[in-house]
Amino acid sequence: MTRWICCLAVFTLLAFACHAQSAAPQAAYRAEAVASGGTITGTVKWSGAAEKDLSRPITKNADVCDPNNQKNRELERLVIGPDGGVANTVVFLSNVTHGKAMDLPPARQSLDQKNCRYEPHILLVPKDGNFQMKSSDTVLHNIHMVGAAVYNLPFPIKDKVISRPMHRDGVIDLKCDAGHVWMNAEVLVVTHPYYAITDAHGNFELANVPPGEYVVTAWHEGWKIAREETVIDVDSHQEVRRPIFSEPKTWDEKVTLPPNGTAKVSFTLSDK
Amino acid sequence: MGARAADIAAVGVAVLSMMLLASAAARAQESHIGNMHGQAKKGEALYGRYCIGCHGERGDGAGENAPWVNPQFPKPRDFTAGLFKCRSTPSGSIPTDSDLFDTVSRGIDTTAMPQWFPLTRQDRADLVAYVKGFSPRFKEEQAEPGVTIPPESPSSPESVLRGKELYQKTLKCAECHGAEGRGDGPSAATLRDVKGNPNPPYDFTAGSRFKCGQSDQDLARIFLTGLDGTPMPTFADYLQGDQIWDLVHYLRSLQASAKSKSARERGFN
Repeated sequence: MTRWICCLAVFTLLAFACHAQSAAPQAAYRAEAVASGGTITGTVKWSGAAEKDLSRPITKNADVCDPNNQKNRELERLVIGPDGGVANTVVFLSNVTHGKAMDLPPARQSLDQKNCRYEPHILLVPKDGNFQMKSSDTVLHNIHMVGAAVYNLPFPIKDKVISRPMHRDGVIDLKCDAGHVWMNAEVLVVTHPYYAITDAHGNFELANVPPGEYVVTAWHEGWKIAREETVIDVDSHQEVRRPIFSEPKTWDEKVTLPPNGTAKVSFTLSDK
Repeated sequence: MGARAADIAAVGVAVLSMMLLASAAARAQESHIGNMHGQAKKGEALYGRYCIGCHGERGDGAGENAPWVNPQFPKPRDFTAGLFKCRSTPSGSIPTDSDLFDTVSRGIDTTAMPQWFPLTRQDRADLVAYVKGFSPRFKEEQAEPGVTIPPESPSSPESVLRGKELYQKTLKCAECHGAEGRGDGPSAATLRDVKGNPNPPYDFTAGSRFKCGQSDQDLARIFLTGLDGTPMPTFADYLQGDQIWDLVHYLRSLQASAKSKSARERGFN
């Protein structure tokens, strides 16, 4: 009798544990002192015919949004340098379980809206950390978040910093609901600090990584227009279109990092 | 420990485990509004009779009637996104069961969502329990504590003028809602809800009610909570002291057919 009840108890406990576990699929990251840490570096390059970055006409508040009279604003969805390096690619360790404490650069946790452009274009915020936002423009901006957070925040007052906690990890798309349909940016809310963003040459570096075998993932935002919304701006009587972008893409590479050593990883991005 | 005690302990563990397992699933299948408890199983039959036409079998706003909803109205709510307009909770939070109950009862003014007072209170509570099942957010998250609405300051010409300054200049409401509050501001035509459907801003000159109720408090609450899922954001970071009431008094002054205070504050069952 006891054995039967014990089995039932164990089974139900396991069932509950599995249920709880399925709600949190990743094991929590452990921050601890890194012994014999190494560095993973690499480059993200584009293969094939270089795609020109998409752009859109600046249809509103040209005095603030277009001070240099360029008429069009690049959407920054795919930024390829003259040497074929792809900027704004997020490179991270997919399967890291322990390592250094959170040390993501504060500049990537802070967003400014300047001349109707989100700066920086890619942001990294630690889970449960604060995402800070402000506008340096005198025109109204309205950040509408879609994805792991759904805040919808107005910025009618220049330089006032608004902050919100990011409690869910994942990707957040930013768009402006105040008529500036070209503005776009991506926020990644992350659970560990081994994230890097490629520079203009496509180079990245992940420092102070514990030795071991890792899967390094390159994440890039979608650079194609999936569809467009067409509306008439009642103020200017012009047709304006807001682009909706394709899904982000990822690429994986395996790497082995020796103690106190270095490892190099290369990624090749293309349209295929 | 004797064999008997071991038996009892094992039974205790078994029962506790089963309760834990059941409670996680049950939490989102019920609603609690005041002393009422709604059951999703009962709500399902009601949903299939009254709501499915617009909100769809999967609760995603793609019911048979949805394509025919007047283009001036927003499309039926997609419950699977877990975003709701009329809440007492801060922007980004799920609504409380009471918020959903109030919305079902009162409907949403200037949209195709009717008032469901003909259904009993218990029916409406059961519907709330069922609707919560469409979004995983109700299982994974808790509603945040409600926003605090300060006591209303008295209306006066000065308050209305301060409200006008906030509306036209400081907070730039006119960008979307237009210089006269008719919902025709410069950004109005570009406004979309989270699903990409047109979402024109509210026309304050039309009638005496607002989207989420008809009292001054109901309007003030919207400034604090924002209307999640639409372009209307929260202004909780910007409104200080009595500014929220100055804004309410100004907006009331735009309403040509504003009814008397007593009629406005007449509650609903």
